[in-house]
Amino acid sequence: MGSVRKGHPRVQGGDKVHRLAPLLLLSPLWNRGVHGYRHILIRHRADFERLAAGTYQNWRDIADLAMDSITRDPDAAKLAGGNQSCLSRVIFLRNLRTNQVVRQQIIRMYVRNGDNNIATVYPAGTQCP
Amino acid sequence: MEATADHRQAIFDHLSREGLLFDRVGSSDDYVLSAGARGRFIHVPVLTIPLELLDEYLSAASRMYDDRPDPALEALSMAVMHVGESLTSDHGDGMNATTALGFRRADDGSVEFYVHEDRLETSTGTGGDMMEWVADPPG
Repeated sequence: MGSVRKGHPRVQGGDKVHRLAPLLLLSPLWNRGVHGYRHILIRHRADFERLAAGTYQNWRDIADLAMDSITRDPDAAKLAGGNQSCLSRVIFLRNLRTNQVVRQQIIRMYVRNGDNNIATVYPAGTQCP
Repeated sequence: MEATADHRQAIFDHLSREGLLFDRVGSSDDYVLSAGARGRFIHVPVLTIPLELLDEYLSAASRMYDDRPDPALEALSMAVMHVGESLTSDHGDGMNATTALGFRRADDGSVEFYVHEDRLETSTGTGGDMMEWVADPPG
């Protein structure tokens, strides 16, 4: 697998302006191939809400944080076959009282080659292979 | 797009790069995660890929990408990614909770990709202090 060109990934779909890009409203039929914001909302909102427990952040704050940091400086960036690239990195859970890191989480992001549209973002068990 | 084993193989090739190997159940379209790859799984997921349904799914999905140079490649890439993300997602404590996934005929007659999960309740373990997710560890 080769390297991946860095750029400014965008999320497609959604109901309001996203920090990384303007969103387009798409059908929520993720199981028919829909991707982008609607896919993340339907398939991974619960995953990010689990991460948000015990913080002041909501699921979109964490998804935004992950997408932004992966875009800036991924730990791994690999061609994923077909027309996709996989980028991933670790984010850190900080205790605001002690300023200590109490947990880490790998987040993966798949983007379409060429236009860098984000297909999905989700908490993963491993970095991109 | 023709129904070929290559499309199914593309999915398994992707999963293999993830260290996820599957064993076919007899001559069926069901594939079960091999014993050596179950460390990150709560359950033993079964992946069902009937070739003719995969073909129909890809043909329908490719019409969503008519504005792309290669709609068939776009559709296959997305299908591969959906299967892969379903099996590499961390559903809590680093474990994946997928029980079954694959391609099936939906009630409306179309072919859909489905995922079944059975998640465990997990504790956040924050100890009462307020936490914050950050991109970089505190210096």
